[in-house]
Amino acid sequence: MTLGNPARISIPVLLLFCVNVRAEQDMQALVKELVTQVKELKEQVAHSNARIAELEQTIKSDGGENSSSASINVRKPQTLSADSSMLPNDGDAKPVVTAGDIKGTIKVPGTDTSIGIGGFVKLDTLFSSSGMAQDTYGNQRLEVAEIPIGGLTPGNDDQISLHAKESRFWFKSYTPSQWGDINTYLELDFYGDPKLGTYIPRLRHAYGTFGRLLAGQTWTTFLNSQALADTLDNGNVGAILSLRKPQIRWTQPFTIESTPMEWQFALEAPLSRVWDAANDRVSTTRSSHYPDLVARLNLLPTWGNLSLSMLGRQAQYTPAAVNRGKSVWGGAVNLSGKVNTFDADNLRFMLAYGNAMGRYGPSSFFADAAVDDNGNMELIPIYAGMLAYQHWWDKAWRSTFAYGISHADLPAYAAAANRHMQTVHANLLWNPISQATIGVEYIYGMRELGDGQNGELHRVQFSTRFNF
Amino acid sequence: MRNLLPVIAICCTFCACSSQLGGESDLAFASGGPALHAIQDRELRDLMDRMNGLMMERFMTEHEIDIERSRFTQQIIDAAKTLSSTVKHLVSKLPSLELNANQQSAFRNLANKLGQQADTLQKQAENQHFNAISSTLHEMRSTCMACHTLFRKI
Repeated sequence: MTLGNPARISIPVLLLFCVNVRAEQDMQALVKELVTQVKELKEQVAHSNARIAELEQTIKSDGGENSSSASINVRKPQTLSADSSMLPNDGDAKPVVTAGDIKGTIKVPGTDTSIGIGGFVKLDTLFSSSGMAQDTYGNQRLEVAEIPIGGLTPGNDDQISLHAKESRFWFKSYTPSQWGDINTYLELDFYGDPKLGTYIPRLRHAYGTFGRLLAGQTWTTFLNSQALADTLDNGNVGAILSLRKPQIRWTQPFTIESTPMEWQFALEAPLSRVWDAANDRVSTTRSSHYPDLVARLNLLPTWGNLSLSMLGRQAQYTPAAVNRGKSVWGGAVNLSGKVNTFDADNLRFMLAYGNAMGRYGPSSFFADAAVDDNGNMELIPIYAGMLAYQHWWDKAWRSTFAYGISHADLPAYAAAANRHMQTVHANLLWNPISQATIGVEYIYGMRELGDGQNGELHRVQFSTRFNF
Repeated sequence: MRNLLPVIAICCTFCACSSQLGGESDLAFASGGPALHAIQDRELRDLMDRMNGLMMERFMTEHEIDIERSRFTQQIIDAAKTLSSTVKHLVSKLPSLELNANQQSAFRNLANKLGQQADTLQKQAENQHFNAISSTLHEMRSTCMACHTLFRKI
């Protein structure tokens, strides 16, 4: 009897089936044996407990010397407190430090305030295809506005730099009150000076909240900080509207169909960046009659978060050509969020458009408005988008791939201004323990001016980060 | 077809053997689609993974992370409560499972154990004992595997 093709396929499948049936029976036998052992252990414990109860009864019924020696062996705290000579005076008793009301904090003894400190030490090693100008931030993080245009200057092709400026220290406190919880938060890094070897502390965040009111410096309300991509690079993805500003913000939570939502309204510090054709550069004006007005709607479902931000602000400038203050109102919208996909993976995105958004873009890249040789001022429409996907390979390894793009509709006379940028970030990060991160990241950045000239940068960044 | 006859004969022989080798295989019953308690267990583990992922965030402030953590904690508490009531529902299905007395006892013990672990998880989340939650989830997984081994068809 010869076996044809169906038989050749069927027999290994049969054997595999038999092996699986056998394995299941072995597992069931093992579980049955364990159940029997647990039953026997339970009986032994019950017997032991009965014996202990018997002995305790014997000790109690003996009385006299036996009972006083037993009380010394099992004396209770009440016995100690009755003997005042053994205790320190109440006035000398120091309050014990206990865990605070929020994670990572301790209670200040004698108060309701919980305080915590933390931060991280981060080393960045950057291998860049071209160096930026001497003593600029572009050699320490991605600053697209500093990418050289046209050919590289001799001796300035490829550069390596190492620094620990992103190292961070924070302090937080929490105090409950009948009027609403009081939180404070301070955070510093060391980007206070652009020189590579100079570490000056720089204030990143300094704010307090009192119930629903927030006041101080933190991320602009226009930005959804949860949408920021998990990159090693501190410059983050191009097109990210990332800005920390002094502000006053009110948050009003509500629910629709049991989905938590929030309204946020903020008044934020104004600042205008204007491209002046008279000198072909951007000038910054801090004086203004009105604060920036921001409103934001947050949707907070279990699958992530979404926010829609609206901005209204006045750009103000005094052109040298007319020597008279000019101002114009403009606005912007930003739809952004973080959506959980599967397991711990997530998708982060940001889509923004506006004609008064320049200052809110990547640092120093776009202007809010442009002024021609006659002193006429017009706002610059900007489109920006960012998409990032974070994938967790397992609990210790993760990667983020992020793409960002921004474009400005420049007037013809602003040919030397930044018009377009794109960035790509791709990384692989490893957390052997949760407090330590080691990773490598490839970064690509390009920028283009109004006249079409462009430049690009390739960079590989290796970083370590140790949290405390 | 003639070549298949020996194969079919062998299949039938093995099937007969597997059904004769023990009443243990009779313990297994089809649970149908994914069980509610399994979905909730998965949901809890995903929530825990996402909460642990907050530690890696670098751009959110610690204050913002605390707010997110409290949201995840509330979701964990809600999922643990739901799991606890789902387990009670599971025990109520016992009469319809046609198990003998020993099997019923084993099923009830495992279900009660899962319920107790869900209650423990809820208390740990309410008291913000986050470090303990991971080990409780691990214990719950062991309980699920033990019950599935005994009572669920593979």
